Amino acid sequence: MVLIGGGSAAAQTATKVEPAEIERIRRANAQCLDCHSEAGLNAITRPDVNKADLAGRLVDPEAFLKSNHANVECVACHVTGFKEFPHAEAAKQQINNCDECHTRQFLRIEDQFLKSVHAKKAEEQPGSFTCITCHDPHVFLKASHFSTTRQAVRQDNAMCLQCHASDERFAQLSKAPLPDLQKIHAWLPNTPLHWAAVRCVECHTPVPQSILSHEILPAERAEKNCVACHSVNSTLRVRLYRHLVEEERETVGFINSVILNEAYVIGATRNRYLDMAFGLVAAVVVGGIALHGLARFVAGLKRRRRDG
Amino acid sequence: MASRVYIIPLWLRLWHWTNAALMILLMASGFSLHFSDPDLPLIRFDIARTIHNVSGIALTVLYMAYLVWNTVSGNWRQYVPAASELISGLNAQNAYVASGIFKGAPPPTVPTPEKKFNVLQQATYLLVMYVAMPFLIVTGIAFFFPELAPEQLFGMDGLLPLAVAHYVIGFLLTLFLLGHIYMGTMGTTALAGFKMMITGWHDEHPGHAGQPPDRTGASPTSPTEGGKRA
Ligand code: HEC
Ligand code: HEC
Ligand code: HEC
Ligand code: HEC
Ligand code: HEC
Ligand code: HEC
Ligand code: HEC
Ligand code: HEM
Repeated sequence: MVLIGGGSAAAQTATKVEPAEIERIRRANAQCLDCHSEAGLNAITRPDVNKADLAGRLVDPEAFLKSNHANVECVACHVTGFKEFPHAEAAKQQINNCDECHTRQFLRIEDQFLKSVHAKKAEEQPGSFTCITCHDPHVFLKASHFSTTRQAVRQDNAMCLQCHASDERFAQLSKAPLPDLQKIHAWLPNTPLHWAAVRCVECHTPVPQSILSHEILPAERAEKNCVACHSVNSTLRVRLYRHLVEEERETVGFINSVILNEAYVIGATRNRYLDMAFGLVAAVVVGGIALHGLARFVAGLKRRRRDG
Repeated sequence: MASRVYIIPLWLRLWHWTNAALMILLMASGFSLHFSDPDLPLIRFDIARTIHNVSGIALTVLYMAYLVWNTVSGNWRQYVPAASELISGLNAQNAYVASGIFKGAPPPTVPTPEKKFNVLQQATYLLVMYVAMPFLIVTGIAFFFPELAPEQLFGMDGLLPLAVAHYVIGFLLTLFLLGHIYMGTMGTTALAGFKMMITGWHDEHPGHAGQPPDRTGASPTSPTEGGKRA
């Protein structure tokens, strides 16, 4: 359990893992990846390894190294029984749950998850719907850690689409037919564009207090109001772009310039100076016309009086 | 001696008012989209988008038709200011707007079938119809395909230049519209221009002005389908 304790400390102190420690972890993990990766599998010569068995149990080392758990030892989650091969049978039953390393924050998330529309399914069929269903511990990267928002959107939407775009996966959990996403969201113009630029959870969760809520709301309560995003006070500021907003620097007068770096969102990413300049010019023109018109009117009255 | 002259053929009048109606719809919905505000929506965002898209496409089709009609009928020649008149015409027009009109002087030019517009009108209509409108339409159509815009340009979203260009040109055309309507009141009478654009006939008898209007500006450009006299 020492290892798990170590993982826990690391989870709390985030980025402060010593380089020497990282080096040690990478080396230890490489031993597992000698078998549990595409390259490892192809290179294996040991006769006692069942290649067919192994083939379905691979980890992508590249994705793992980019993920949040890059600096976590495989055996911190998978317990030390796996260090030997053949793996100890007892080890296979054991896996550390997420909350053994993450506690405080995850408790809150678990509460939200239990309130979500999926919770009933998760209860009816234990294990069918857990944190791991969406968060592949070998791959998942927090949205704020991606270099572009679009990549984060792709990852996060793939979580929902694994079921909501697959008849097979959906049928495992529900007898109802899979609703056609395109049809349900027909009111949303250019859905492919929206789904590349925003996440499903942007509309399907309540406005978050701090981190994104895990409470997927019933369909009736989903966000349908365009100006939730398409306005100066776009809720995208506290959702998809939350982590960037703190460092926001207004770029040459553009409102919501953090969003503008990645998406032009009508109504939300406009230019303050341009708007003001146009307002001023329009006021001058209207004022000028009004004055000219008034002067004409007065001159006309005078003429009429003079001419009798 | 009431004399009327037929100047604006039916197709031009139909085009003009349909165009005006579409432009007003586009301006209202475009304004509403750009300054979208949950607390005081002029037009609800999704409705504004539908209005803007439908009128945008209608305007594009109408503009194509206009280009064809204007070419075939030869009406386009009316938009080309004669180089020799450019300075004198503008001066005369400026003098009229700045002082003549207050003294009840007749307008320096009046519409005839041979020459409907003064130089100022020619220059603005030429710019508006052959530069601004195509620009407005091209940027608008491109806006239908935001996914084709480059992902990034100078560190900002690739759609930005297009969006700003569309906004700027839309604004300039709104200014044009304001000026245009007001200039419409500066004919022989305040309403003569509007009557002409509705009925096609221009009333040459101003009603109160003393002198007959100066027609020397009329140049022998090709006449349009109009030209009947009554
Ligand atoms: C010599 C190759 C090899 C090495 C090295 C190896 N494994 Fe495995 N592993 C296998 C094979 C083959 C299986 C599938 C057969 C089985 O379950 O025993 C497997 C299965 C697993 C499973 C799935 C168990 C289950 O419940 O089905 C896990 C988890 C696992 N290994 C983790 C690890 C970890 C962690 C390491 C490094 C500490 C590691 N392995 C090192 C070959 C290896
Ligand atoms: C943060 C915890 C965590 C870390 C670190 C971790 N895993 Fe896992 N791993 C899991 C969980 C949880 C599962 C179970 C997934 C499931 O049931 O779908 C799993 C499943 C597996 C499986 C079985 C896959 C299957 O389809 O049955 C293998 C093999 C595996 N991990 C190997 C590794 C290797 C190799 C490493 C290190 C490079 C590693 N894991 C690091 C949590 C982790
Ligand atoms: C063995 C301990 C351990 C287990 C079990 C574990 N994690 Fe982690 N987790 C970590 C460590 C260490 C980090 C790295 C902290 C960092 O870099 O910010 C981390 C980081 C994360 C992060 C990024 C958090 C942040 O604020 O940056 C997420 C999300 C996460 N883990 C999800 C999970 C999920 C989901 C599970 C269950 C499948 C899980 N973890 C299981 C140790 C663990
Ligand atoms: C239905 C899919 C789904 C399930 C189930 C799920 N999550 Fe998430 N989770 C997401 C999405 C989407 C995000 C957003 C990605 C982000 O912001 O990093 C996320 C983000 C997170 C984050 C990062 C929050 C942040 O921004 O700091 C943590 C931590 C997390 N989830 C933990 C959990 C835990 C623990 C569970 C199980 C109780 C769980 N998740 C279950 C979809 C899911
Ligand atoms: C493991 C599969 C799975 C994943 C992953 C998943 N869902 Fe679902 N979802 C379902 C099933 C099954 C239902 C139908 C539930 C029922 O029939 O009661 C459902 C229902 C819904 C509903 C409809 C609720 C209602 O009121 O009818 C919404 C909205 C929804 N999911 C959104 C999401 C979002 C957003 C995500 C990603 C963050 C997601 N789902 C991820 C399986 C999944
Ligand atoms: C712009 C906001 C928005 C986005 C983005 C969005 N949704 Fe929805 N979604 C809604 C709204 C609103 C409804 C309710 C529709 C209605 O009642 O007409 C809904 C309905 C649903 C339903 C319920 C279907 C049913 O049973 O009636 C599911 C499932 C769903 N969405 C999944 C998704 C998934 C998966 C994604 C991401 C690919 C997604 N949504 C993205 C707003 C959104
Ligand atoms: C969850 C936030 C969100 C909601 C809700 C939303 N949009 Fe969007 N919308 C976006 C984002 C972000 C983009 C930018 C996509 C891009 O160009 O990268 C966008 C793009 C668009 C575009 C394409 C033009 C452009 O700005 O790139 C139109 C049109 C549009 N939205 C209309 C609507 C309408 C109508 C509604 C309501 C029915 C709506 N949107 C609701 C976030 C949203
Ligand atoms: C933005 C939309 C509009 C455009 C692009 C536009 C353009 C034009 C053009 C090109 C002409 C000359 C037609 C010809 O070839 O004979 C014209 C004439 C005219 N238009 Fe418009 N128009 C618009 C809106 C309006 C509106 C809303 C009104 C009045 C409410 C109006 C009033 C007039 C009048 C009175 C004329 C007669 C000629 C003149 O006095 O200049 N127009 N317009």
